[in-house]
Amino acid sequence: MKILIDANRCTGHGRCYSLTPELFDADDEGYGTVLADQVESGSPLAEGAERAIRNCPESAIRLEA
Amino acid sequence: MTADLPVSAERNCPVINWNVGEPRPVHTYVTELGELREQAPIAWNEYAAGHWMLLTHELVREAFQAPDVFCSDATIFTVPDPEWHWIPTMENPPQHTKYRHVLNPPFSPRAVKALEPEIRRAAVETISAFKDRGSCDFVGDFAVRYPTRVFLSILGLPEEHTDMFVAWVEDIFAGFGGGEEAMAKMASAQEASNQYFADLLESRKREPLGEGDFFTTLLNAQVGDRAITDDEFLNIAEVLLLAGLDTIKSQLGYMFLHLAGSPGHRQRLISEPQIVPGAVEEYLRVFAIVMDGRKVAKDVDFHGCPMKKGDMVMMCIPSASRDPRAFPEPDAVDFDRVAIGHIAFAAGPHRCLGSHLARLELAVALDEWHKLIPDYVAVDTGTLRETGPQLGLDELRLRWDVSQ
Repeated sequence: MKILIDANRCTGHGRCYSLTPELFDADDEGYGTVLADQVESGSPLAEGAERAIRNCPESAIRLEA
Repeated sequence: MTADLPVSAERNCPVINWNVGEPRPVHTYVTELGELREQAPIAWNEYAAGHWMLLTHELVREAFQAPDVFCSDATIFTVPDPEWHWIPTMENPPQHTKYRHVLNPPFSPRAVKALEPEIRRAAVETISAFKDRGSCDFVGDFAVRYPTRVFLSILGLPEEHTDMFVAWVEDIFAGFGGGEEAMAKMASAQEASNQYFADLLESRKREPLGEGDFFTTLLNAQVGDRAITDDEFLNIAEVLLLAGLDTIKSQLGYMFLHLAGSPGHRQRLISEPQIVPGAVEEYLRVFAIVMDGRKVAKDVDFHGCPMKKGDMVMMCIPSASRDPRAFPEPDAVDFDRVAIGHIAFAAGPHRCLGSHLARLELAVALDEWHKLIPDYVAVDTGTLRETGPQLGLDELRLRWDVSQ
């Protein structure tokens, strides 16, 4: 599955890279970036992605099959 | 507030008259807002000039994410036509975006993380000043002084100016909605702080400091395709002073009032330091303090309510943060909550610039305080008052054993 951050929605709360640094990082202004854009469905990384999705205040992150 | 509020046919929502600046027993504001939220997601408050109140997580967030409708021309909901203009607070996209490109990097998580040793030192030294006394006014002795020390340190200003900054911030905040005397003190504090930053600007122009110096960086900043002006520099400096100090003070007050009465939560912070960042998120959610304002930019039907261009809107973050539709058991302080998409720092383009610094300051305070003073109780809590519209305690008396 592919992890996507919608740059139009992300305003740099930083929840994704704080909770799941193995999948997300911050750019110089603090906006989220995706480190590993492919994760295997059901894997621990996919769980981490789900967690970031549930904690994003802007609903800017999504997983696509 | 009463159970059956009159409903306005014209506005299609309940109508109340709720004083937003009155001292009330601690936690009353969030309780009353919660009662109102469970009657309707939107209300009209006749208090002062009158304003809409958005009460649920979904609606507050939606409005924050729609700056073309809910604009920032006015951000204090009782003042629709302010005589002041704060940068970047009262800017709208696309100009707002240009200022944020200047200000985001020095307040990014990476930049802030580099300051952690300084922040820890500020916390430890502030606590050490009163630790052996066995008691303190948490608000006056710690929650005001610690963020001020951090603020000065980050901005490269002398530590000895702490008392001066503490007094300015107190006078300025007492002036919002205060009487004539308070307004006069506010004006003189603003004048003094403006002069301070004007002198600083001249000093940095004469002798620029290195790349790591905040005000040298600000002085050299480009706003879009042009250099920053002196007026912009001074405006931003003043806004940082207003935004960065009182908020941390208020947040810390509620956190430590809760911890003083909950040894279980305290013990977990001590024995499981890795949960501290999650605990900070939960405290930001459960004790959200900011009730921001927005101005309606064009006539709109917002979820059935006819909002007119120029109407003011109160973004009730404290009620949104305890909305049971968004957070199960919303009134419980649960350090293990797995989903906390709270909007204590707002949402949309005006997401709090200092949020990453605030989180670190709060986490460090939890860490360092409990290393030095692990056991404490709150005393005289029966008389504790909070005041809006930015919720905060005036004082919090803590006591601990110093006999060992």
